Amino acid sequence: MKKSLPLLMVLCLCPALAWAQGTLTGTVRDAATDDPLIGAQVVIPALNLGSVTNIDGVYTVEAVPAGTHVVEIRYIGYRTQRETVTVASGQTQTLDVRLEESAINLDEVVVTGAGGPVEKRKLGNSIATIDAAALETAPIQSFSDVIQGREPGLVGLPSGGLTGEGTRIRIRGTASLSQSNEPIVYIDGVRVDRDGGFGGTNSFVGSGGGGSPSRLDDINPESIERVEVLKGAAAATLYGTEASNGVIQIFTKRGLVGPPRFTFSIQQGAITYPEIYPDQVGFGRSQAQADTMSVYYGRALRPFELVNQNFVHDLFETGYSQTYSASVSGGTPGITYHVSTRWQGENGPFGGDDRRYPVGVTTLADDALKRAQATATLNIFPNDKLQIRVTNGYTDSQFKTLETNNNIYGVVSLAQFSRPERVTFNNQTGTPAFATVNEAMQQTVEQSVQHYNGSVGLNYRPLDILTLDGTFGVDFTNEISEELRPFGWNVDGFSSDTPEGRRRFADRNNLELTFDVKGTLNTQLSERYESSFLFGTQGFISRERLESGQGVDFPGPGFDVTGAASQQALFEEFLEIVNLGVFAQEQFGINNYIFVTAGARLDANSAFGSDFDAVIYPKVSASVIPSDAPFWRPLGPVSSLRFRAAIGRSGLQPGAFDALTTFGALPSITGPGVVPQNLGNPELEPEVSTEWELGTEMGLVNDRVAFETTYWNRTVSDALVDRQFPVTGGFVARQLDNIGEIKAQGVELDVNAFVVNRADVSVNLFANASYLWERVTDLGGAPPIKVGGSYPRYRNFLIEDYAPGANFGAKLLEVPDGSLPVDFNGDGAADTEAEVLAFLATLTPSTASLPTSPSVVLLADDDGDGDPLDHYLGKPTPDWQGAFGGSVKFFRNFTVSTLFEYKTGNYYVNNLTDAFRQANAVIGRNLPESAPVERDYITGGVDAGFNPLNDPNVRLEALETWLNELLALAPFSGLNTIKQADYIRWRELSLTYSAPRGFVQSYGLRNLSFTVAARNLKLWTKYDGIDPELNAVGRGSGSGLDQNFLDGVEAFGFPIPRRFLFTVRFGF
Amino acid sequence: MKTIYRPFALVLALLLVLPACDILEVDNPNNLVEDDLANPAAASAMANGVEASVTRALGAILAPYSTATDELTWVGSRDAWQQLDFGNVNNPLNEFTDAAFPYVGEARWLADEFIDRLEAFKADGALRDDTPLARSYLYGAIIYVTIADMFDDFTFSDRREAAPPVGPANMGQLYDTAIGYLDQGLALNPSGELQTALLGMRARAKYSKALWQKLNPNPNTGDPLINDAGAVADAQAALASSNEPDWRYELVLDPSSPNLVVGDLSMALQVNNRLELRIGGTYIQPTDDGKKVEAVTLQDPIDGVVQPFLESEITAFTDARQYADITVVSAREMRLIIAEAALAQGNTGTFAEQINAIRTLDGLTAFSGQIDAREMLIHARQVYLFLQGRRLADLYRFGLRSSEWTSDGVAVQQPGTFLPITIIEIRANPHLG
Repeated sequence: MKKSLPLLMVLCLCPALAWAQGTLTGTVRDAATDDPLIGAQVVIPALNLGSVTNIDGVYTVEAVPAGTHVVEIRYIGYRTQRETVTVASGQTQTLDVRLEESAINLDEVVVTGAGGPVEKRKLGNSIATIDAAALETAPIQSFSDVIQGREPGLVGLPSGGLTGEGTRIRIRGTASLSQSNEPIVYIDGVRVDRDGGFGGTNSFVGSGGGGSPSRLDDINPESIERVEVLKGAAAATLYGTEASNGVIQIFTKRGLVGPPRFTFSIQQGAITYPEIYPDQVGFGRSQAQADTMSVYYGRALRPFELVNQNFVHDLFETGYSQTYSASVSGGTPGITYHVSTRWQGENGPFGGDDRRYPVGVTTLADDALKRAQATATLNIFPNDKLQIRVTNGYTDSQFKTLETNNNIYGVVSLAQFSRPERVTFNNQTGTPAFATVNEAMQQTVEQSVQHYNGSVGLNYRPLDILTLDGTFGVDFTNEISEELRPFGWNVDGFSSDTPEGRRRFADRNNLELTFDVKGTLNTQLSERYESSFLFGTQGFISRERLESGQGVDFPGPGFDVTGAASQQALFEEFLEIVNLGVFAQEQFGINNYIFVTAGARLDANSAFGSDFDAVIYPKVSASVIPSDAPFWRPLGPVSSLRFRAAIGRSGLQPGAFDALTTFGALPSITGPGVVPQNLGNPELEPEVSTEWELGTEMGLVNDRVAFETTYWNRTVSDALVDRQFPVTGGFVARQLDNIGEIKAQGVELDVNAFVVNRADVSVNLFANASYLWERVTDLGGAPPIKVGGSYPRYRNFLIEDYAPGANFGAKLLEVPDGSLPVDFNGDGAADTEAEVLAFLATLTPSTASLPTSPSVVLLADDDGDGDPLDHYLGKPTPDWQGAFGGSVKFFRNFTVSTLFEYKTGNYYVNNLTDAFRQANAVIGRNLPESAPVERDYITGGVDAGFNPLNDPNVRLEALETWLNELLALAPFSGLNTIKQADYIRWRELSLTYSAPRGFVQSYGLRNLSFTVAARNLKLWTKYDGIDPELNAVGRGSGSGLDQNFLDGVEAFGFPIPRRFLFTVRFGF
Repeated sequence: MKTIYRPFALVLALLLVLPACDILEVDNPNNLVEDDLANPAAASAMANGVEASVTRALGAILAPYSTATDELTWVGSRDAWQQLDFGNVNNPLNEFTDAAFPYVGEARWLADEFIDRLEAFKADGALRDDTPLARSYLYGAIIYVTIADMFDDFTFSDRREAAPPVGPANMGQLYDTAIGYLDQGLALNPSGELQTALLGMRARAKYSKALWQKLNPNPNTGDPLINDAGAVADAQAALASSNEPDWRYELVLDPSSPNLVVGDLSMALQVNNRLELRIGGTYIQPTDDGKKVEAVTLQDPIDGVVQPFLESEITAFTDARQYADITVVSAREMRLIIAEAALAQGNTGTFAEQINAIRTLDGLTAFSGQIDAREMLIHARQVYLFLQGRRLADLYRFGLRSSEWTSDGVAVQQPGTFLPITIIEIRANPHLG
């Protein structure tokens, strides 16, 4: 189905004229292939009449007033065609149409940000549309997959590869230094819970940063008809406060007039992790240790003999997924419906079932997802002036994941920093601290979610020129998260943390109420001038309640309720935000090829300070389509051309209670007490994002090639800076102040080409790229903000004149040739190689240890401020990113589609996983590169029998490798850690066979197709870690600051898995 | 036409009415707004808040402090602890010192703030019971003494107003503030345990002030003993005020208040749960994996047995998991203050009398000169003030070294160095930038 929701509001109106009427019917086909086009729109604009083609490409418009009319035929991906037809009273007029493919479609009708349905050509701002029908055969299993790689400037950040893990979303980079940089999301006009994780920052429950689910993935991807994306303030002004990160609006499928049409889809899949983890390497330090190792490795080992093991790959298996979906749609002229249901089950590729466990023990940790979804949409047309829309979407999901990521009790974390020389019977991988892998696998993290989104919409046309539209909706989430360590979880007797068990829970309820009432006055002022005046009000109320608790120490096995534990703690939080806005907008058209739009929104918000009332966000835009002008003559290959320009504002409000000076509860043993909480700022106001953009859209070679460019420029003024005031002033928490400024600019390029379109072969190619430059230009005197708290291994900062989240850290002192950046002799200067050798010659295996003291290893302090950790080490956001790919249809019935994604240019990732593994004396130095270095430094080299040679030159070589490649972590944070991470990922590949029409119909079917597809097939990268797309925190985990700027940090996460899917689709 | 205008009227009503109504007034039940503190009924909650804040602060700062001594050692994954082990105590970037610093800053400010508020209630006749005020003075004194004991410098900002550092040479003045608070607390005529705690804390404050003078500007290892008459008098008064011979005043950590435990900074959690830190090798024999205590080994120098008090302290510390209480002052410390003053005066009889009063509690043989008296004093302080935040000063003044201090470390190179103002304050405070 390829159509636009708002247009349906018009299309499905039932004329009440009872006399001098006829019927218009016909078939719409592809001009090149002669295939019927399903869902093409056939409209008589002057009469607001229309219809949509059925499976056979046939349309019927009834009750057409007798006379001559202009008919428009539209279909996404095809050039809009206009025909003149005369309908006689009481007769049926046939109009068959053949549409030509077009890579550019300026007549596409959009809604989001415009106030009502309007053709793209009339808008001065860019608006992206993702057509779900075009993705029908793509390997997509979630909403995150729907948006990934589709539009330049719209970025999905997957963070990790665990089953059910959500994706963070960014549009045009960072628009706030302190508030969420996620776009706001609507379904059919209703604000959606866009949270993620396990209850938020204050919840007891967490998995360590990874495996974090997104509430946006509750959206049934197969219920989506299309997604509209506003990329910034210039487009999103009418959404007001909270819209400066852009707006994503999802339109769900609607029914069409006609008999019931059933559609079914069955999908089976396999999931595998790439086996790319470097081995764990170690060696015994003594004969006794070597003897113990010999027992477990089944061969005689000597001290200092390296042993390679891989404790990670043993934990992987082949995962399995299955999805079943069904839908039915249809209707009569008075009512249409679309009902769908989907069930998705997945048992991910984490295994470990075959490991050796103590008697009576097995793994409890699991990576699984079960998700049931249902949607029902009704469109009711009581008369020709009124439409009633009712939408319902419900999801029930059960989700299990692991303790993971930068988490000392994470399963793969423990496996990765295991040391072969520490293997014992009860510690099969030789974890040196915290817990064994078996113990870690006794922990479970689960989440149960019920999520409803629904709306009632009224569209009333009291006059031909006036449309009133109201949407009233609710989005409700009930989310229960649980984290359990059962009694006696330390099955190997290794861990000392809560051995009697611990249960945590978080019960989060979120309610989003939306109302949106507006009127549109469309007036044809004269033959040359047209006007569209919009006015309205919009508001939302967001209420979130979190109840979270923890129980520690159960009296015995079998208990898994918090109340059974001897130590109990509770947390309760209630947040309410109310936003109200009124807006007005005038769109003025001249000669149907020049359009100017001006508008503004006035917003008030409960989070504003008491000294601040409301804010106005204005906007102006213009669109000029020379190719629609009477004077237009094709310019060489240019067949269509549009210029657009827009400037607008939107904002972000502070947190719900940031304006208030508050004290929080902190009981002492004596009784309840209060302590400083929030410093407060009565002058708090929203930060204001001003964005302007210039763009062109060009159709080339008879519109078979479309080229779209946009330059945008954004300044966020009065930016809310989460300022750290002196902590000795009593209030430790940061306080928002409107003192900052962020500047950003970018370019977005998009090319689509219909290279070949014949009946037997067609080739469509696309490529997009977005360039992003962004800077924190002013922190208003506030100190630099470190992301990740005082944890020194996260090196992301907000610092003036650098990109948000840029990495800063240590680098070695530059020394003259012949010297090393070490000071073994304590003379305060870098030692010469001779001095180093002299020192190394004094070492023995019992005294040698790789240097880790900052008084020995000399660090640079380029700016001389005494801080060796403030050297710029690169940014976690690339200059360029985008996607390319295409589809090839061959032998009439086969289609291959593919998509590649890439990031490149000044793009760096903090490889914290390897920083630990290469440098940490206790839980690391077990990489294939680092274990030999440590061995050689200790021994000064070994002979064939692994006897130490005490050769200072060997130690010197090891020392140089240690300093220049391996030394990392505190107090050398950032050193040898932050790595170039450019990559290209083969994201999607699919091959679809569509059964011939005749064959399908012989079985009474409407369509039948088979698809084999793969996702994340291959990664090419400069990055030396596991996967540059991994991140320490996933959607909804960590603090708000972490969510925004703890980017490009790989920390023990699961790699993005490969998925292989087989899908059968059929309908009747 | 009437029908036509009806929708206009509806929209107009929405436009006008909705923004004007009080729907924008949302409630905040999660926290207390500041105005509510003007209610004298909040007096007890204020005192409890200061107690909680001071407890949290001590729990947080004791971990980096103790790791910089021989009391705790690093056995985990977060190597900033190792830098403290090495004696690199003054690094403002150390993640743990830096993470603990704000809690100390908060506790100091809160004590001053709530003492002022409670005094205002009292001046207005609105304070029905002086106990919250007396308690607040005690907690205020504790945090001032802690700052002066553990830091080389400090700042005393007020909300958004940054203050310059007091300067290393002026840190001794903090003891005067503490002593003043204790004077005012005692002037409220408290009784029972509170009175004993106030007296004991004043003894400790006076003793610590004298000790600070021994350590600054450089440790006076040639004359390290403290002989402060005021401290001795208060110590004697504190002992006399209680019938309990082995009393101690503790800041209590309890599962009912888990937020008092700052996970990354809690000594007990790091030692008992996470196994990131361990009791130092001077005191115990570790398990084979080096992670836990196999047995307490530090012996009594006279009886040659495992020091019973230390063993019971370590056992209690281990059993408490993350909820190990923090001893602030004790009868044992009072006797140590008196004993040390006597030793400084050459009064070995009183010294032995006080030391033996403690040893009797543990069933140990009386000290009668079997070992050098100063060694006895050093040992007694090492044992009886274990994990109470006194060890680093004692190591410095007695010219001792933790076995983990590296020769290039700050503690060895610049003895007398304590914790710094950390980077979180430095970056936010223009006087330090």
